[in-house]
Amino acid sequence: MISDKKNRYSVSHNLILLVFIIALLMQKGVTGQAISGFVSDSKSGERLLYAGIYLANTAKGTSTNGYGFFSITPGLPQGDPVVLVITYVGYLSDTLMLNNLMKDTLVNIRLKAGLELRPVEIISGNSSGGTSSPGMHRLTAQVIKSLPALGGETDLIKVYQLTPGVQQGHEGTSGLHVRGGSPDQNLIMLDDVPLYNINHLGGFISAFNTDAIKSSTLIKGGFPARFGGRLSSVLDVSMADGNLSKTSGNLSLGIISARFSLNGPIRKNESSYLISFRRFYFDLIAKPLAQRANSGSTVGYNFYDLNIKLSRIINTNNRVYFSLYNGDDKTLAGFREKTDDGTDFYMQTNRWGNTMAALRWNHLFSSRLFSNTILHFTRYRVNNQLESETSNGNNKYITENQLLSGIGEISLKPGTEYYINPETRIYSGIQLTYRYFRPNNYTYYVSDGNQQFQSGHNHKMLMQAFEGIIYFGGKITRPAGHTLELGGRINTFTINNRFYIIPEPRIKANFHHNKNLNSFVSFDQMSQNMHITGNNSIGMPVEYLLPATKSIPPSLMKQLSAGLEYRSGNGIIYTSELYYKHFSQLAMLKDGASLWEGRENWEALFAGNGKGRAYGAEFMATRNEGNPTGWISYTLARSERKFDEINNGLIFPDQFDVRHCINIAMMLKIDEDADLSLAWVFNSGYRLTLPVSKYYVPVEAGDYTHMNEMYIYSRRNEFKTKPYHRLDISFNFHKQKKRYLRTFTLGIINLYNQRNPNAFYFTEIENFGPNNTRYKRITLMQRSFFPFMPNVGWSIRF
Amino acid sequence: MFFLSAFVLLFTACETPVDMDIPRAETITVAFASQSYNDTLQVYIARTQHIYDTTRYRGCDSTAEAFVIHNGTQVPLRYNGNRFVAEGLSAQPGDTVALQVIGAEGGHTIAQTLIPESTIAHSIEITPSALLIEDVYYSKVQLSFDDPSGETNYYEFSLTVTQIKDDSASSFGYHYFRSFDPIMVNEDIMQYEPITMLFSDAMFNGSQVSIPMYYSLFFITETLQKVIVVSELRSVTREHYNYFKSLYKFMYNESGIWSGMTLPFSVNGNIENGAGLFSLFTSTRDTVVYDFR
Repeated sequence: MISDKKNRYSVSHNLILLVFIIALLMQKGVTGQAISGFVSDSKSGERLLYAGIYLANTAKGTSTNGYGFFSITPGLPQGDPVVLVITYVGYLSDTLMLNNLMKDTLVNIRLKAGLELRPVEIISGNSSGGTSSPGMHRLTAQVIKSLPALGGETDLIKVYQLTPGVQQGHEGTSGLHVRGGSPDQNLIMLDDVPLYNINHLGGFISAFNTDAIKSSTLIKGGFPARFGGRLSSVLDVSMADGNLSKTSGNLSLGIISARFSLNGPIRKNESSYLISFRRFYFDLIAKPLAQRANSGSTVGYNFYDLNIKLSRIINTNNRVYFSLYNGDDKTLAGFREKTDDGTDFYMQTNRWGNTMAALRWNHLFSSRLFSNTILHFTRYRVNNQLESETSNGNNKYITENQLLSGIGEISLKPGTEYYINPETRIYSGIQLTYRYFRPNNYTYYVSDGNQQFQSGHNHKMLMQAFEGIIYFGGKITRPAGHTLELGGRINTFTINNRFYIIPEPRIKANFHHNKNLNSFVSFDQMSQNMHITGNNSIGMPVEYLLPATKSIPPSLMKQLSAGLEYRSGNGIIYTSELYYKHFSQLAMLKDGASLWEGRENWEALFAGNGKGRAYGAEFMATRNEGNPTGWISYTLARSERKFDEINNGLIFPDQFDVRHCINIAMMLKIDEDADLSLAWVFNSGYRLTLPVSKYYVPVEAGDYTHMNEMYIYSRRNEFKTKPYHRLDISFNFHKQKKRYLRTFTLGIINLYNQRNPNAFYFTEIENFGPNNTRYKRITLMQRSFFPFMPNVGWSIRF
Repeated sequence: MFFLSAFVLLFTACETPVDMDIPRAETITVAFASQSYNDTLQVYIARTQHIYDTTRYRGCDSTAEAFVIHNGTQVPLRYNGNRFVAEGLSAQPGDTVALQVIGAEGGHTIAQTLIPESTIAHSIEITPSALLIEDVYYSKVQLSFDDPSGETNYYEFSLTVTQIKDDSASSFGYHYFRSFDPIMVNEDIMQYEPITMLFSDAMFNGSQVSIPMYYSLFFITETLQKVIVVSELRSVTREHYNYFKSLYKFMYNESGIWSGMTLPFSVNGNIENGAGLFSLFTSTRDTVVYDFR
């Protein structure tokens, strides 16, 4: 619900933005010749995102954008040589000299991969070490693959869980709780397309197959204006484009899954392909076991991920990409058995997954004006089916139950970036999205198979929404290295004749004090037009994806963050950051409410108008050069919520309000053929709500009355679990064969067998007292997954 | 076997006791009465126990004091060895009745209920064996009544089936109850005892309504002499509706605290400074007898 006051607020912000844009255009203007182009890998032609480019003569610099493009205007006297220095994480720096620059010039720069593995890039707008951006972490696939992984299955999300300000949720799960936010408040995108549920295996593995990933960025604060739609973070994952010059691939076998990927040129240096497939094994094991136990039984679980990417360079100014992802989880359990005069059949299947397809067009209007246009489709759906059939002589009885839940969208997103000069860049774009929600479709059908009788019930719920976003912004770099980035989004959202318009101003300033010390401050406002609720922490497909409506308006978040970055002489980068977030208009399911009830009035199940706040301090020391590399981080944080209809209207801590968190990730190169990596995580424990009292009340049951045990719970999240900590370790042994590189991985998850909580429950334990007397004691029990667990993996890369 | 071992290792759940101090919460009074307004009022009164207390049901707390207040008159309740009873209460539909309890530790607890006006079902039609689902025959019950317009009304419909074989009466309650009618589908019908249809008139306020429902029962085909079907339509209070709706949900989740999947859940009663429910309802009954002799 946006009041008039807020509309006035929006207008005032828009005016500020307009003034800013005019100020940008009144800069020195378009002078001199521009050097623009793309930076890519020298072998594969893969474009390198956010590579640093600076003018050696002037210390002015820029970076490639999210598509590998850059544009820089040296502004030097005519005839002066221009020396560009290009740097990128994990690559050897390169220098490009251009003489007699008389007109705009397009260059394609190819960097050679270096020997060192840099773990986490501290994002720099200027590779000379000039400025830094708050609240961002960027990881390459190389780093993700090098860290220890469950069952040998490396996981992007698990690595981000090791960065400051990010909590993992329950043991082993892929939830990201970023700066006091919940997992549904993360915008997770693959090639600029949102994925709504990234959990496999109950959340233990995410949907991102590292073989198909080029790079990824997690943004916690200082959000660029082109990103929005969620309150707490943006995880921007880019799929590899495919090798433009030669065919290469990868085959990996782990104890729980296998992966295969192949990429190469379709037409050399012009078009490429990438195909990557991953499959989980369990059904191959479980089915024969179930059949051995009972010949008619079947049980199984599997998931797969398929990534396909095609790209074509049409000419120097145009390149198109097609990305496809399809991933599904499926569980099944059932039996078919013969009876004396017929058969009994029962089968329950649960299937959930994402499908996304995107067509992207990069176009250079000029050496200064770059555009990126995306047309995409994405959908997530849960499909639970239960079928049974009983035949008895000539009689047959068939029942079918189906529960469908899902969300989908079609979106068109054109955007442009204009490089006025090395100091000034502006960007803008629109995002038009049609989105549908099917939170709970239920079908029940019964028949005799011969149309003699049939009955059924259909409960269908379809909600359609339209979202229109306009974003714009610009970045000014002052000669001293200070930068100011100002922008904003206008979020418009329409559903059921209800229209929302929400401004989202974004301000970010970086101060370059000297070559080693930078500081930054940012302010963000974010809004979220949907509510994804359910048991987020478990990661099973029990989430409900619902739009904001009249009674449950879009959620809002404002964040102020500030920090320091110090680059020491020995190659270690120290960062510290403070943040304060304020949430409003949050929605949460009321106690005991379940959308599976099939209610028409589902909004009544929500407690709305919730508020929250989260604040904390993050510290990180990263070593990107030398041996070993890695990082250590510490987070001090607090996160609270308040709903009128929950916890008697009192403020309560968020479930994952974890006060202290320490993460260590280290990669050590032992020799040319072996390396070691380890990850240690510690947090001071998450929050619990427990029953503190019980009582009995009579419940009538036909002719008799029984006394039902009831519970009174503590205040919401009043209790705290014991600290969580775990050490994972992994050795990689490499052997270069004639045609391929073979890697054997030996790892141990939870090296010292710490039992961390996954769930809690009560039980009665029989104890012995004095004189061997027996008595029962009610005890709180903790269930843990993943004890000391070795894993092996084998892979070849060719 | 390697894969199997690996999988077992992967998912082996370790279960360990947790030494967590759960402080003793304040003991509060529990009061419960949910019955027809014209029956003798019987109130169950008890106290809460600590969650680690292994004592099972302790029975009614005979040390408490209780009163009902009707038309400005306070009537003390008498403990009869099982419940606290109020004799001679002459409340009628439309009246407000209050309950006051002074617990053993001196805590005052109060609740009040407005007795709803009676709604009379003008038709309850029963069609035996009308539907076959999963090899089970369901009989159809068609409930029709006029819903008063105005504020939201709440109803509870129950069915008691008694099968009589030979000369001795044997009782078998229906064992499953379902409805595909949107009104009922929207009301999260759960198959937990007591199996009743609890619904509001949110979808049909002020109109005549006819709701088909189905129940199944065990057949005793050879010696069955009579089947007596008693249907009851109750007009209940909003507090009754909310309490039992949340109670059903609670019972659904109840095993949660023993299995680790529970979410915090409170049953919504109307007892101030306490727990439980105080609610009186009106009801109409209809009896159909099938005589096979």
